Amino acid sequence: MDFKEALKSKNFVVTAEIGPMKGTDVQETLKDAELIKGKVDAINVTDLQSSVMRLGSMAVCHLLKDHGIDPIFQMTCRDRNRLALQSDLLSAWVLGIRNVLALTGDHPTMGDHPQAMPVFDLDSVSLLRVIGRLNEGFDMGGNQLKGAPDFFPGAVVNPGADTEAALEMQIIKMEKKIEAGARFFQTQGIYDLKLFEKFMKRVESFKTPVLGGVILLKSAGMARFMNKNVAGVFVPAPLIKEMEETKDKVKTSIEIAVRLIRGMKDICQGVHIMAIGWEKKIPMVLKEVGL
Amino acid sequence: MIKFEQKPFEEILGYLTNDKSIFILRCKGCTKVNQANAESDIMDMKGKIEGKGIDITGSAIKGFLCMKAKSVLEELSETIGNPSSLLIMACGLGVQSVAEATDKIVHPACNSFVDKETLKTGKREYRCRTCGDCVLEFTGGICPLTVCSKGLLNGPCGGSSHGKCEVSKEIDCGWVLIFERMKKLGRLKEFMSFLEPKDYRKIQKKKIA
Repeated sequence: MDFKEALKSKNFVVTAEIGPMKGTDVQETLKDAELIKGKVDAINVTDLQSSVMRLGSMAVCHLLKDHGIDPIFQMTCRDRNRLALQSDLLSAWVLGIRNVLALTGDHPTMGDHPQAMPVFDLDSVSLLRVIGRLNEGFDMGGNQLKGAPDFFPGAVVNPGADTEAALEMQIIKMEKKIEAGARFFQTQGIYDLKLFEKFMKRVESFKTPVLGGVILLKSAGMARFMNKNVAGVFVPAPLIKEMEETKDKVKTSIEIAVRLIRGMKDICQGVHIMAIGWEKKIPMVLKEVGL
Repeated sequence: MIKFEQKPFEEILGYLTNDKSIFILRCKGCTKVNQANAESDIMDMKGKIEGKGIDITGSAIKGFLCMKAKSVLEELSETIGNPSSLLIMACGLGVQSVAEATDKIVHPACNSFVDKETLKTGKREYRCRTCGDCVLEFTGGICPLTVCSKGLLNGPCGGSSHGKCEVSKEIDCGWVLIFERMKKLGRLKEFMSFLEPKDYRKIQKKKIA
């Protein structure tokens, strides 16, 4: 069953995420993917996450497909203009990629090539519309395609936006993304289930599946770092304390993730696990949750 | 207004490798920026060039080189003498205007920046990119192309935090400004509008009115 079908027929879907390496060595990435294969409904492959130059999402998605995993091709607007974006979408389809996650992308100044020219010819909303247009057999210029894709497009939303205005805008943008063709959402990492539940109530009427994001906490330091530097992520003090006082960080990290995912089962339509290097621990988490 | 700052001297000296003599022209600045230290900038530059085997035929400080380069050069024609090149201490506009008005080699001595004040109040392209397809109707009179670091047209990215931009905590998130303004005006319906990607032909072939 592919990801699209899983969203239709399952009550609660599971996706994970891998970030390609800097370089051509894909052994570890594929090993990690192999470990979680069959336990998740799809795996996202990030697109130069944090604006750090690495192996591309499309190539790794293609490799996953070859290994029998349904990939979600993350595509940002940071590095490509509308010609390159559309062309890469067609290429991705030809390589067997069926799911696309449309993102704006971090600014280049955040990464390891801060001198780079930011592109942002399109934004996540217009990219979604372009995907829809390609699905209909036309490019942005209105030219007919010889052979059209049939992508399953998704987008992201940040339920933990830190001010009321920011949250309101997130919801408005979410609506725009749905109008533009988004069929599913994956969220930024969530640590406060009460806030998330409130958010889900507000977007219930959109009737578009939301996969709550879970970032595996590796340490108290990581939690503090995210609170300071990652927009929309807030780890509450009790969780930081838990990580600080534990003798077994891995065990506690898994316990926290399990609690969050159990909580999400009644709130949203699935979970998106971001392990950030701890991909090997995902099977343990899922086993504990009973997924 | 464009703010200028002197390039590292070693870089300037590299430009002068083939020069036997130069004339130094410093812009006096515009109404608000670049006015301070004009005299000492020239003295400083002269001091650094002395002893490098390059003759300085003279120097001058003149305002608004961007607009008055031609008349300034006419006025200075005798003072300038016959140097092998001109060293211009001005913003990129000033250097280009001087280059347009003379057949001599023109060396830029400065790097140009948009200063913070200008970003807020400037009336040139920093605030309006003359995109040829104005969207201010939908954005509360605040241009998303110039006020958002990514020039996004359909709302903020995920990097907006506490009303600030992911690029720097010193920069306001443009979309928060737009949202708050539209909300205050009771125009959130317009805020919802989808804005089409820009037609870059209109930006490249700017009409000069």
